[in-house]
Amino acid sequence: MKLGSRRRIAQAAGLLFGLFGVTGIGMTHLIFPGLHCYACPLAVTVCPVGLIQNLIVFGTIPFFWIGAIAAYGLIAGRGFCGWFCPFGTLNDLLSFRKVRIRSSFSLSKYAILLGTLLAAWAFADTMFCKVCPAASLEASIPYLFLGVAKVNTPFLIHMGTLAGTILGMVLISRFWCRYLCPMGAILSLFNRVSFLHLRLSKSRCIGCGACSAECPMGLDPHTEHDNHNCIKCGACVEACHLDALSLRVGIPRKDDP
Amino acid sequence: MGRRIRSALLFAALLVMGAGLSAAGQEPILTFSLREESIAVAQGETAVAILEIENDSVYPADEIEPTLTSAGITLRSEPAEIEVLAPFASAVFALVIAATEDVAIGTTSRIIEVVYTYCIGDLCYQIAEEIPLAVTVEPPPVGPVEDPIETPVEVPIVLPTVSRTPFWLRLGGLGLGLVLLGAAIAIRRVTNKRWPVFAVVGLFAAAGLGYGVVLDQHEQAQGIGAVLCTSCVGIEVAQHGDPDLSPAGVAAIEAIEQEIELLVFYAEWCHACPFAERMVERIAERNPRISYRFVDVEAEPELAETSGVIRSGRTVVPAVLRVDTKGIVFGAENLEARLIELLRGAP
Repeated sequence: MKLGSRRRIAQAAGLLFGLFGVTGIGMTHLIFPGLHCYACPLAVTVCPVGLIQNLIVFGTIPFFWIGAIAAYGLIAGRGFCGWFCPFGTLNDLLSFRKVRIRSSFSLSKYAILLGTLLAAWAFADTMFCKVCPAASLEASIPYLFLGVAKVNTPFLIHMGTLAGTILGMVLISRFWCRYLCPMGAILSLFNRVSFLHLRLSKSRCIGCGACSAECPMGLDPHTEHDNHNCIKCGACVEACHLDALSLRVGIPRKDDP
Repeated sequence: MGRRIRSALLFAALLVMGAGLSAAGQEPILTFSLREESIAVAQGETAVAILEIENDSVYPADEIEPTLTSAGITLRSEPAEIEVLAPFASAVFALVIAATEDVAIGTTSRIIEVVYTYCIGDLCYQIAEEIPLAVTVEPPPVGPVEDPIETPVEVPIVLPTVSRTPFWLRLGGLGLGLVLLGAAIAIRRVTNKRWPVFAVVGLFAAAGLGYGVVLDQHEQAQGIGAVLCTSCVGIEVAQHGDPDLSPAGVAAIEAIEQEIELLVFYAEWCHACPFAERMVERIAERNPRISYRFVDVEAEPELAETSGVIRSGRTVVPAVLRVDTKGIVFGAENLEARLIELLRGAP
């Protein structure tokens, strides 16, 4: 089976897992390894970004959260963005252009992560959730139909951020994942310490740039295969006709560049 | 450059979290006021002072107990202790001040000490507040008058903050983990060996998950995920403060003639709930036929389940249920009008 097909199956599983509440099992103790609003009527897992904000408000030292995030980071790092996160899947479905913008702009997601933590502390509230497009899609809209939400200012703010994000996704491939996602920022800290990794065989690479043309994150995989932004989707692996790039599971070998 | 900026941002985030953890708590959350700042009591007699308490915070205050240790004056409060004072709630103590028969006549300043605790997450703080009360001891109705003797003012007792859990040990464990991580990264830089970093991250994962489960943090996470606080995810604007009923609202409430019972569903950490609780209290004050009960959805999930305060598997707070009609109002926005509509509905 092709890598792309495997990824589509994994993304479909992520989407189904996110909406597993349709079975009526209710909320579990699991933290989701991506951006997925826990307020969604069909959610069965806890959003890591929403949870850490609440824990900051409560003043809890978040051992469970740290453990879960470290585990997810160790397993795949940002691989979860490319293979599992439903919001990442939405990014993929809406990606029609692969615009290249200065990669340094991608640091903005760390600023958003820092701002999210700071705002939770300063305002003792989950401020990011009030503008989060995942909450717009998975909470505001469903609860409008369930008679809990109303068309009011917070609802319109949610719709504004959702519309802006969707427009960004259409214009720039993986726009949310690249520049804005705080969960992506957290997972990217583990990107070089994850079992799922991209391997480059330098002896085979001729630097043709075929991988760069296909990378949805706007990276040059043949020169930055262990970049913090790499979502390990494998588009570059499939694009490389010389098999210079491969997705591996395990501790990266020390002879890997 | 990018790597340095990321490292700087990460450390800044850790610093902010550390500062937040150390800054949270330790501040008094209750305000006290005596209705009268002075009280007169005859030798061998008692007098009553009223102490009003308000909780201005989002945290419940526990085990509130006033005491007075002073020569010749004793204090008994009614109730002796308030076990829990909910967020934004208020309460009253009746302080029965008794003077012994041999206490000196005259006015002295006495210090009433009120001790209470409150918890933010795993951390609990004990706070001791001192409230001055001028006590004028008068001669008994019959008997000789003695020269007043000045009694020295009591030395305030300052209790240290206490924690039920070894906070610094936990923080130290986290710090040790970070030191190990730093060492592993240093090894990686020098020897190009990657396994130490993987081992330390694995240790973080195992220790964090294990200790988190020991501390019931997985239950906390599940609880947060299972309950939808309407203002928290931006379904409505959080309402704060003390609600005032409009004159038209008061008239509508007073005109209700049937017996109505309301259940107010809340969660302790919900920002919009105290406003809804206060609003229902205000309404019930206006009409004795309206009764209410507060229900903590995390303490009584079965009641929340059977009452229908659930939308597609998610418990929604705040929610006000009218017991006879099963009508429910969710959220706190435009609450007065929506509650009046709920109360006016036919049984």
